[in-house]
Amino acid sequence: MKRASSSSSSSSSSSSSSKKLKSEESPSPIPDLTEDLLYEVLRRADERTLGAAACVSSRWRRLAQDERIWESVCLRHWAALGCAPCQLRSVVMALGGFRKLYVSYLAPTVPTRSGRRRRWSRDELQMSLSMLSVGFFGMMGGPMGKFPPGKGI
Amino acid sequence: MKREYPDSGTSSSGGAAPKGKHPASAPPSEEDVDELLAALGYKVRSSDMADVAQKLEQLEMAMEMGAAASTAPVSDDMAFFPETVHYNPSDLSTWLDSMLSELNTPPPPLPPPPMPPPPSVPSFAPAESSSVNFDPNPISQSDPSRERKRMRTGSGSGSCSSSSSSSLGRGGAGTTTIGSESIEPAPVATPGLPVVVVDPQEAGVRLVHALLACAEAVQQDNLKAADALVKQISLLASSQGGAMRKVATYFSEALARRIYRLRPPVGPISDPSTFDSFADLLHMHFYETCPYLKFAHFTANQAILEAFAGCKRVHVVDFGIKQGMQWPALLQALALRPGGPPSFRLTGVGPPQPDNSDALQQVGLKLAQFAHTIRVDFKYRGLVANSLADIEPYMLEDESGDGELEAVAINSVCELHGLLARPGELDKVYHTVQKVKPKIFTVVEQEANHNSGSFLDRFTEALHYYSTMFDSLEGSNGSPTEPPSPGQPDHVMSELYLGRQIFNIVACEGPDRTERHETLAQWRRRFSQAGFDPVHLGSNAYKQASTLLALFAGGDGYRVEEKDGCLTLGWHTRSLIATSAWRVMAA
Repeated sequence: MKRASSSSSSSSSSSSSSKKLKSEESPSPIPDLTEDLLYEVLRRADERTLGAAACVSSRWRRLAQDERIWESVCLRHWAALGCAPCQLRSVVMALGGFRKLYVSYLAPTVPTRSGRRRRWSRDELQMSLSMLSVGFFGMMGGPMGKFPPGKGI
Repeated sequence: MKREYPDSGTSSSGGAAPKGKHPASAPPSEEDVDELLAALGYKVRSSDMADVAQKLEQLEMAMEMGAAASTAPVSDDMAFFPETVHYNPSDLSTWLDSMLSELNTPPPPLPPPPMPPPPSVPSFAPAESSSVNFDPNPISQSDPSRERKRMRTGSGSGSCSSSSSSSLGRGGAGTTTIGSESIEPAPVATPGLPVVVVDPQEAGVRLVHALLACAEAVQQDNLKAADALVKQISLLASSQGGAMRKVATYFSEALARRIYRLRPPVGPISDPSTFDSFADLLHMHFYETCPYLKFAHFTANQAILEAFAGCKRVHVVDFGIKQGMQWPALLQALALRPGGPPSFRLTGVGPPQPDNSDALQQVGLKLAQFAHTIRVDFKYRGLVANSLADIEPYMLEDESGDGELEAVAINSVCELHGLLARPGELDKVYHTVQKVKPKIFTVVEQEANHNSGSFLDRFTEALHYYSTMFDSLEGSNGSPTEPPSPGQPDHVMSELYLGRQIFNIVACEGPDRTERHETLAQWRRRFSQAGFDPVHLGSNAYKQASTLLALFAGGDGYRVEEKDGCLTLGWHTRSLIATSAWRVMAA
């Protein structure tokens, strides 16, 4: 886990990790962080950590899948896109969200074992957005993509 | 001899095991003998192993029966063969043949195998069928030494035809067309079942020759020869696996249709231009499974995006809207434009529906919903037209008349070649486009010449083109965004999509033959003569295409190339589809 900037969270995380070390006989409890702290910590985590964190408990899952976190995951690696972030946000959220964008269209580009984070190029970014659009369009109107099912827009 | 026999029996069964691996480790000899037996002094071709084993079994049975029948002591088996000249036992197959014939064990007669007409051969793999529905799991028959199926080509072969190396020369008239390696009267395990033994490589070459010969016969109107060849083709095709078999099957089906004048009526199965739900489905699957259409859409979109830079009102005319798959990506790119999206108007052209359903409107509604989701101002108009030549400039006019002129882009993905079927239509379309004065006219077409005057030339070209296409389908694994299914059902649909084009190119003539593909060079000439200047697709389009391949093609064989400002996508060295962009020549 990355060290958070605030000392209180670092001390609580270190105390909870020392708690973990002490109580080896009983299964170590999930660190009892408040939601804000947990969010702050996860916001700085990398993608694999987020994936692992989502498996811990339903509360952790809800936080690890927060769109704001995934937005920063995606934006962290992007070279300048040329549009305003709020513009990007509204489009991507409408088309399924940053987590979906990452998982479906950006993650396959990352070599599985690379520890080093790479920056996605503008073209990869645009390609992933295009594919997101196509995917969203294909899924409109239910799994068969037949649209409209008879109702109005 | 008896002492030798069990040795050779065991070693032959032992030798049977490395059969498959043998060719890799064989000493480079012409006869390609089995190593283990060679160590014992017996020369047996590894491809003959199975029937050598079979003959040994027969010999054993025959000798046992003989031993039981006679009262002579068993110790000396030579007594059974008093007058035999023992041929060279190191050539095991021949020797066994001679033994068997000495023992008067005539092989049970195989049923006479005429050239069975393709649809009724039961023993061929289920995938072999002349109907349009193909088994999605092709049976790979690539290793002939494993699947030993044999065909007796004439009852006159006799017991002296052997399977030694010169069998090809001795095969007799019937076998040369099949190219089988060993013809012999050895009984098959299940008599009554006609089977085929072929060397797939050789059969592959013969297959291509047979296809071309058949096309030539058709061109010369020699329908009897063509008919016979079509049947041979089906036979040969069954020995192949994978792409080659599928291609051969489609082409032979198309030839058969042409020969029997089964001109496909303008209907769903055969006519690729019919815009019905089945064609939609095939088109969709083709879009999903291979990158050609995605390449077309993304490169055209990039060109349109660049042409629309700075414009506040834009109008796109799509000459073949189908499912509208191209436009979500463009809408999204426009939505993310620095400065915000323009007002977007789309005119979608499509053929009339056989069932009177309003597919064009449905596509429009779906796109409108999409645009609403990403907050792009969107208007849609559907144009129903039997042919693009029916479109008049006034139909594309901007009726709102807001004051600001709209920038127009015209887009055609594989729609122009159909116009070549009727004289004058292409010129009419050029004329209409010139009147509309678009900022850009993006054109995607297949990169092949399937429109030459000579049928044989067309056929040959198409054979190469679609072989490469099918190879690429075979070679790619599909997009990683799809669920990891075996992928076969999707490939079948894509193959059928291509198959319909094959049927049209080979079996149709005149106005029915709408798949009149032409090469990029040919189109360039047409456009220049019609008064258009080329617009170079920029490096962005090239990078997008490369990214697409890197991310989603799944196969290593795809190549993007830039040719004088146009982009082509191909498989290995062969370009298969080309995107180009044009604008009206400045007067």
